[in-house]
Amino acid sequence: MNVIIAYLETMFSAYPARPRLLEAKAELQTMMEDAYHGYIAAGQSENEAVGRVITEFGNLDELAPVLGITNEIAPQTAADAAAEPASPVYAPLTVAEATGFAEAHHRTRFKLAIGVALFVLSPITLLLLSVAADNGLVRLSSGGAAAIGLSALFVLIAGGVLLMISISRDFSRYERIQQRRFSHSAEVTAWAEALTQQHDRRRLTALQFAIACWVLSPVPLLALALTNEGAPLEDFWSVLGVALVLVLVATGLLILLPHTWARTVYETVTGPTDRAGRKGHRGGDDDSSVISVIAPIYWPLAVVIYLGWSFIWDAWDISWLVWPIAGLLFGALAGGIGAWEHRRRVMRR
Amino acid sequence: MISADAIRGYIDLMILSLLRERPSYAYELAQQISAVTGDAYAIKQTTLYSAVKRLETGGFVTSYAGTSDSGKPRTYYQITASGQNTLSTKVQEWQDTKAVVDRFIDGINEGVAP
Repeated sequence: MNVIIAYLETMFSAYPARPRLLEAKAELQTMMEDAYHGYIAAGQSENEAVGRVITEFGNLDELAPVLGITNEIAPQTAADAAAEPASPVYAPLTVAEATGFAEAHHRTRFKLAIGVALFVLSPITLLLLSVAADNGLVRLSSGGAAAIGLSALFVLIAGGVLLMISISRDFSRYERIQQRRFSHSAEVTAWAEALTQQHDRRRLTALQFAIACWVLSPVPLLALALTNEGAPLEDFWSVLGVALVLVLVATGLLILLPHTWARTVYETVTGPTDRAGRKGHRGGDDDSSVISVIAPIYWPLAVVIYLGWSFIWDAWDISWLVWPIAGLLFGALAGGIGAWEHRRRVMRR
Repeated sequence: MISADAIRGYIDLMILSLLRERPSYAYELAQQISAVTGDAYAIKQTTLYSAVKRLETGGFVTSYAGTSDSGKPRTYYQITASGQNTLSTKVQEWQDTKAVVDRFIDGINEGVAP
C-alpha cells in the first residue's frame, strides 16, 4: 500500500500543490486504495496487487486539460525525452513484468540466502572431522574422516547448486529483464523507487547485523587459538575457530540476503540497459544486478577454485580460506555496489 | 483489446449510462465498466477521473460527499437533467456513427468465421 502512495507522490511531485491537484491526488489515491484492497480480497499477493493498480493508473497527461496544468506537464515530458536520448530498441518494461520480476525475487529470497550459506558452510564437516580424527577424538582414520567430510562437502554444494538452479527457473520468464533487454519507463521507475524506499530500512538494518557478524567472525578463532596455545588439542581448537568463522559469515549472509531483493529489483529495472547494437556485449555499465547475475556464476566459480586449489596443491589445510573470503566479498558486493550504483546514477542526472 | 484512442470519445457515454441507474463513485464506476467490458477494454484510472471531472465541469454530473457501502467517505457523482439529455443525444449519435461505419465495412469480414 505504501508503494502506491509513494508512487502517486512521485507522479505528482513535479507539480505545484494547488487545490485542484491535491483534490485529484486524493481522489486518485482513494481509487487506487479501493482497487488495491479489491485485488487483495480477490486473493492476489501484495506485489501483484500493487503492480495491477499501478498498471491501471494511466497517465497524468490525461488530467492536464481538466486540471489546467498543461504547461506544467509539458516540461516533464521534455525532460523524459532528454533522459532517454537513444531510440528505444527494446520494448519498454511494463509494470506487470516488473512486479512479476519483483515477485520472483521476493519468492526466492530465502532460497538464495540458504544456497549461499550452504556453499560457505560446506567445508565445515571436512575441517572438523579431519582434525578430530588426527587428534584421536573420533574413531576414524584420516582417510575415513576425509571421505566423510568430502561427501558432506559435496552434498552441501549440490544442495546449494540445486537451490540456484531452482532460483533460475523462477526467473526464466524474466530473461529479458535480467539481460537488460528493455527500455526504461517512467511508471516502472516510480514504482521501483517506491518499492525500494519501503524495504530499504529493513535492508539497512539487516546489513548492519550482517556486517557485525562478519566483523566479529574472527573473534572466536582468535580467542580459541590464543587461549589454547600450547594446549594438548591446540590445532583442534583452531580448526573449531575456523568453523565458527564460517558459521558467522554464513549467518551474516542469511540475515542480509533475504532483505536485498527490493534493492536488486530497483537496480535492475532502473539500471543501465543494453542498447542498440550491443547484444551480447557487456560493458562496464552492465554489472549492477549483483545478486541475480553474479550469484549463479560466482559460487560455482568459488567451488572450482576451492577444489582446484585443494586437489592440485594438496592444500586442504589452507584452501578453506576461499570460503570466508568469497563470503565476505559477496556480502560486500551485494551491499556496496548498490550504494555505489545509486550514487553514480544520481551524479549522472 | 480496444485501444484507448478508439474508445476515447465514448467514455462519457459509458459513464453517463452507468450514472443513469444510480449515483456512484469513481472506483465503483471503474469496476462496473470492467465488469461490462471484460478483457476487451481496461479503463485507466486517470482516464476515468478526467472524464468524470470533464462531465462535472460541463454540468452533466454533480458531485457530493457520500459514504460507500463499506462505510468509507467517497465522492459520489450524480447525473443531472442536462446529463440525461446529453446521454440521449450521444446514444443517438453513436447509433448513427455505428450505422455509417457499418456501411463501409459491410462485407469485409464475409467468409471469416464470426
